[in-house]
Amino acid sequence: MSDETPSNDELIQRFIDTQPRFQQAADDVVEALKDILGAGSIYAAVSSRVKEIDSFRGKVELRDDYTDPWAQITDKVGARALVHRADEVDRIHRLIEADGRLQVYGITDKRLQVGERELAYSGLHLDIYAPSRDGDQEQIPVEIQIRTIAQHAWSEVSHRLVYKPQAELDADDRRAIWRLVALVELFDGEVSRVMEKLPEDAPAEELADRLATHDLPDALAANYARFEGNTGNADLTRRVCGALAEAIPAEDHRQYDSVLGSWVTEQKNWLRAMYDDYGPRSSMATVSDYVLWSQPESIGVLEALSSRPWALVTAWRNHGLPDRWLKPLEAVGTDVDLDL
Amino acid sequence: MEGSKVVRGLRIDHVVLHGIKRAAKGSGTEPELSQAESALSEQVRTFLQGQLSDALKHRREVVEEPGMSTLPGIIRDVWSKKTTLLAASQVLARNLQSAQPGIGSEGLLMVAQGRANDVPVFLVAKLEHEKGTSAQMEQNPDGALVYSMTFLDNLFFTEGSKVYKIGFFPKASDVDQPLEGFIVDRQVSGSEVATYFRETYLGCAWKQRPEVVTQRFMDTVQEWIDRQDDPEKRSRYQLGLLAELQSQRDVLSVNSFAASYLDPVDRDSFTAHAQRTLPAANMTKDLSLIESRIANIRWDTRSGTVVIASPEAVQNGTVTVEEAGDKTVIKVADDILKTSGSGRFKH
Repeated sequence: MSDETPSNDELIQRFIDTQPRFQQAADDVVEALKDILGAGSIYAAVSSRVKEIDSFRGKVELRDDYTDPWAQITDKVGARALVHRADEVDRIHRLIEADGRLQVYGITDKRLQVGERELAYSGLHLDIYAPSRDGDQEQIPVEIQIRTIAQHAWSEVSHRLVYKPQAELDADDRRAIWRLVALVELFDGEVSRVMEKLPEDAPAEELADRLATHDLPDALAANYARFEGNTGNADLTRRVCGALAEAIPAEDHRQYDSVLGSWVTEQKNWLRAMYDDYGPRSSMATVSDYVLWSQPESIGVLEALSSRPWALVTAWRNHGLPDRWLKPLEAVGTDVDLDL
Repeated sequence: MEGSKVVRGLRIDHVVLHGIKRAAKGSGTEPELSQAESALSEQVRTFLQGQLSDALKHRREVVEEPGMSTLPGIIRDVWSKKTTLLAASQVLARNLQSAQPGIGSEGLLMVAQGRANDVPVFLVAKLEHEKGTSAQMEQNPDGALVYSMTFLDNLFFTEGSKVYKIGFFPKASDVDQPLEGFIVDRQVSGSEVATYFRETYLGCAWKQRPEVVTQRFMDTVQEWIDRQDDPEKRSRYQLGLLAELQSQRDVLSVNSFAASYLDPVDRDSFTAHAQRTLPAANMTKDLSLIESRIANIRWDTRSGTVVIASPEAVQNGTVTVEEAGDKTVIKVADDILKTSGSGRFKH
């Protein structure tokens, strides 16, 4: 090591001093990720963490092969997106690249590292730089893990199960581990198969049903997550989605997720101000008539109010939903007096 | 913020309230003045914003008529910080107290500053007191739990209320131009009460000439009706247009026309069409340019046949229009009083 190489104590102190900025970077990455995924109508559980000081210290102390430990330890900040369907992992990657806010400088595709006779964890890791802020002296690297829920479950328990190198496991244990990993792949495969988009020639009724029960709730959850962290009441979502789906013109059934995503992107500032005033963190969150403002479906209601308010109110009443739930959104969401 | 735009993202930041008394005009009665801005809790602020946004759906466009009132100048002074909101509001309260006619009821004047559509807005609202009751569970002297009720006569701006008048002024990029804004008055239409608020108090005239905008309303609606495929609907909507124009109401509104006369399935398409040429705000009705066009309904058929009927004849079923396969059947069930020829037969 040269004289300019900082000591471990200096590295740890630098890490402690930079932690508040790391936390900001983690928050910025989560916000950007939720926004990017929402625009693509992909609902994912997005989280982040800043490396604990003792974990950083341990890494610095134990590894003697670093030439520049500060630069080489790239997981000081991490983010994770857990998705339902395996094909969404690649879609998220494409969306991040296309959006450009999170600059990707490295890709580790665990799926490519798994041989055809091997069974192992198979997520995708992206090395990106967090959005920069005024006063930054350096770019902040962040590792983003993108996995399915099943892959995540495997990742969480695998290191406890496989406490010995595979070569040292007896045949029964090795076989048991392989069966578990196969189950992960099977699980993801079956989820994707069931949730696959309907074929082009699917009957209109099937498309409408699918919209109300699957595609619409997913698109609403993804776009609502761009502003709020709660998931709302699932029964209420189910009831309102029926009315929302009825109010969507049949020709938009297949691409409503992109219609909604584009509208939310266009109206982002206004929506943020509205959720600040009326959403689950606001003072109105405890007023019963404002219940929809704390639900993911509020974002679909606001979109419908802006483009087809009469179709929405007709569908709303057809589904026996009370006007008083709609009124607080109608007051600010449309220029049309729907006489609620 | 142009008149054709919707009012979006209203945020109220500062509010001053003053009491306006019931008093004969010219009696010199002083309003009950506040000496400070009212504190705005988050709940009150967001509730007010919702109520005001809802009320502004019934706005009409106005423009400053120079020399008519001091209010536009006072608003400019607040925006340029020559005076404070509190001082300005006290002058505006005295002006309202002296301008309102003797029949004007007591209430509150709300003067507020905020933002909408990302520009500063200034708002004055005359709000009348409303009555109601509240109920609260409590223990009576015998120890039993009971809802006790209280009569309240100091409520204002309740949900569904129409007892208010609002002047709403977004700051224009060129503040030296005549002030433009909106007025909302759902209490009384077209009477001197509205006139005192608009002219004497706000110092404003209608932004668009009512007879011109009424003609445009008729042309726009007619154009949309003519595009409808179903002849039965066309007749019904035509009748609706004439009924709306001939009604006693002095206001035309795209939304209320849609709600009153159109099938729900057609309302969004109509609204989208109308908003391309008509203001989103309500319009003041004046029939002087279209009087001759609204007396009768006229059908011109492909063969050159012309049928003319009064709206009443269609309404009471004397004349009916139905679809029969690929043709339209116009039936007249009436007594023939006279048959005559007109024009010249051509070989």
